[in-house]
Amino acid sequence: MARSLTARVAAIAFGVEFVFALAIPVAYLHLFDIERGEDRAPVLAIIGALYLVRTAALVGYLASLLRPIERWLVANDSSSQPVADLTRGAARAAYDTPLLFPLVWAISWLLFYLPVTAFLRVLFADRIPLSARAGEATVLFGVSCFAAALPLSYALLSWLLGPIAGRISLSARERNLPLPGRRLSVRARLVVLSLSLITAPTAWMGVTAYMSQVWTAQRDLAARAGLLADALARELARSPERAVWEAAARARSTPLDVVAVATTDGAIVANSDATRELAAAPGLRFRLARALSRAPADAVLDPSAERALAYRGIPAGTGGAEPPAVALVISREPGRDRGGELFTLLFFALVALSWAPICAGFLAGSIAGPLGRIRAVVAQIVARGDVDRLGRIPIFHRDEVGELAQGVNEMIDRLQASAERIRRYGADREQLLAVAARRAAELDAVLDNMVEGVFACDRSGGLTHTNAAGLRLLDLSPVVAVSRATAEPATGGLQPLHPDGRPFSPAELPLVRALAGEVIVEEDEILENPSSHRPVFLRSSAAPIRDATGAVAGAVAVARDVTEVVEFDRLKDQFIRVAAHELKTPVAILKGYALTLLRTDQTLSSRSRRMLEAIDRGAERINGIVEDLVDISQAFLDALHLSPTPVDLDELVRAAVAGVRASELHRVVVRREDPGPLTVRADGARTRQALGNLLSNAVKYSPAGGTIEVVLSIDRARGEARASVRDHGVGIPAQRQGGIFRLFYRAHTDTPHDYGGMGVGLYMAKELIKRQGGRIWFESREDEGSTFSLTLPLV
Amino acid sequence: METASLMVLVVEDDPDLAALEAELLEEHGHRVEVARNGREALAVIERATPDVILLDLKMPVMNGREFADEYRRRQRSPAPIVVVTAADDAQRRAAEVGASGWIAKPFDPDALVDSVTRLLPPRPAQLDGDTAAREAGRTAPPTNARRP
Repeated sequence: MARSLTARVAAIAFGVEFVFALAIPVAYLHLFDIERGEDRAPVLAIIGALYLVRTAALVGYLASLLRPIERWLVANDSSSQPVADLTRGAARAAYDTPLLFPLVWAISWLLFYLPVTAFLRVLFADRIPLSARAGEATVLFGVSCFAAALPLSYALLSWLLGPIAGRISLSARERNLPLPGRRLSVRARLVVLSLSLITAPTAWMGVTAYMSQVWTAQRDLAARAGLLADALARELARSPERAVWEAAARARSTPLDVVAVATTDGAIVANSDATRELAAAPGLRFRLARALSRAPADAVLDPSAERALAYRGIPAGTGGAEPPAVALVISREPGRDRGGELFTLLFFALVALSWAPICAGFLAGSIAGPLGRIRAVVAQIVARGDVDRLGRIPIFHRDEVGELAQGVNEMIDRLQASAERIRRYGADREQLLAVAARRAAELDAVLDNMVEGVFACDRSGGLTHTNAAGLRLLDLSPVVAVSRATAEPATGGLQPLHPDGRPFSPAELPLVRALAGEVIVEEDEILENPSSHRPVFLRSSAAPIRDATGAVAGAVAVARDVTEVVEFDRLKDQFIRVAAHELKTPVAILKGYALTLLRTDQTLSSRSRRMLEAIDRGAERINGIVEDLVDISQAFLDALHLSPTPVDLDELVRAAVAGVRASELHRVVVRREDPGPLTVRADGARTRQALGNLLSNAVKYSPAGGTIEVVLSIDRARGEARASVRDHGVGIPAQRQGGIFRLFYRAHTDTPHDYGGMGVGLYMAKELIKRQGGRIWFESREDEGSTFSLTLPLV
Repeated sequence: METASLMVLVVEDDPDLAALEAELLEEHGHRVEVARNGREALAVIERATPDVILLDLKMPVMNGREFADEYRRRQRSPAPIVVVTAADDAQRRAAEVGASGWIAKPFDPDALVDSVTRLLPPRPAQLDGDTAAREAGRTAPPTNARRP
């Protein structure tokens, strides 16, 4: 394959040229009217030699231009990838050669006949007389050749090098190399082509017309010279005297015509020309001899320069034994005919007719071919939408079409890149979806194995998710739950009730309230199970689901079936009630008999009396515990029966103080900060109970004999009365203050101040005061004492 | 406090408590009949006319409420009933039964006697149930007050 490119290009290019190159010398000979075989031979020899030299030089130049491509081809054929420089050089050669080489080629045609003409002028001036205008004619002829050669050679080179340029462009593209090389637009090429197409025949016609004018003028001159020579010959034939010839020659001569008589060997015997111009005419002797040897008379001397030389033979022996003489200025009709001109015309018409379509075809192909490739690729993209298997379009020429192809290539690059991106996105998406599906499955599994029922709904309230426990709670199939859900969110059509038996209005449902933005924590509701008609106690929490902007996008509710807990609570309550009831009768017997004995039997010893008193106190303590238990049970079931009426807080406090003072050895002082009435709205017995709890704590944790202060005040701004119980006892350590109001919490457990108790008093005090619209709080410092305060609303 | 001797019917299933109540009342000069349940009490009423009935509510065979209903049905001018109960909502229960007063167990011996004697010297019928209940509640023994 090596070297085959240059050889092939050269063979085809110069092979095609050779056909036309054969025609050009014919035209040249015709143009200069070199018709005789013996004249043509040297001319053709010169042309042939020049042609060989020129072609060899051009082939050498072409080879040098194509060398980078050859090197690239060699590198490309071997397994190794051509280096970037090689590819760049090859691309430059492939794109530049079709522009550069045809120009040089055409210039060679422009200049080719100048040396031929010069050669003829210098070496064969006497044998092959050229017109005096031969120089201009040769230049014009060269222009015609140039114009004809340029598009032909460009078309040939483009056609021959386009495919390899395309291959190189693809290779460069793979390696991300920019395409080098000169750019020649289609417009410029079409302009050059048009100019050539017009210039070539025009120049040819011009040179032909020009030369025909020259020939016409020379024919006229020759005719005149012939007439003069005829007349002279006739006159001289009558008088063979040389003196007469001299006189006749002088008489015939005019300022424009030179008349002379010569012998056949070329010697001038009579001449009207003082300047001897005739005798000095180049090649005269040679031409005379040649003319006379062929035709003794009526021979023609071709015109040379601007002169027409005619000669006529004078019949010998007319006037004596003189050697035959020749009357110069003898003319004859030149041998040019219409047939020759017609031949010329036809010949060049044929050339034009064959040459122009070839050029046009190549040119059109060089434009339409790549465009067709581009069209096919675009059609493929449009038809399939699949760009992955699309090849790139080779760039044959660096022109608009090449740029279009490059643009399409870049478009395919982008399309493939974006297709790849889309594929990657797709893969990522698949993966994310798989992860999401797995997560969803995990979540479903977790949710379905939860004890709590989970309900999620969208913005409109339609259930979007209900877990297995949720469905069990609703005792419905999933389909029913979802289809009903749109109408009745979160309850599946069941009518939920408040713990007090009041039905929920739709707006009160946890999910509906959560959709309105509310957060619900542990609210109780009761559902009537439609199949078993047994109530299901639910403890529900709900919260809105917010999107990224914070808007409510849905809601989720978690409901726990607390039926067992509630039933257990009831059982416990029932147990406490029964136990309390059953305990109270024996306590009543114990207390009753003990007190009766103490009061009625005056004979009792002091020992018996102490024992009976102890029995009474023990029974009283049992009674207290029982009542605490009943209170706690009622507080938990929210069943504390409070009947608020207007009562005097002062009276309640004094009654509570009396209850405490009756049994303990402490001083209790009641102080009023405000003399106004202290009528509050409260349940008297329960408020007294709460105050009593505070007082008994104050007593319990104060040293014996300590003073306890109860301060009563009014806060008119808040509309409440306040009672503060202050002791100077052990106080509560700061770290134990947090849970002081919690049930069964005992701040002094396992300390030296642990005086026993169930941890119920403060809890009950808080519950009782809270339920009456009051507040309760405390301030305490360890070893300094505590102040517990409560408020109740003034009437 | 020594007033007229009254006929008091004690309806109480616990014999010890019934004995305590009887002893306290007899000590104050009242006559006492004891019945172990409502049915026994109805039998007593067949042969005697009590001035006051101390009625336990929770009893076997026939409970206090049933007895009260039956008693009122049979008697045109029924004697006032004082409920003696261990229930924590004694007051409400007393009202349900239509009692004139209530005493919560455990009770102060004096309060028990008072509740009977207070009812009677004026005409017991003049006291409507509510007033009687309130008065009885107010005179309830200290044991009836919540322990501090």
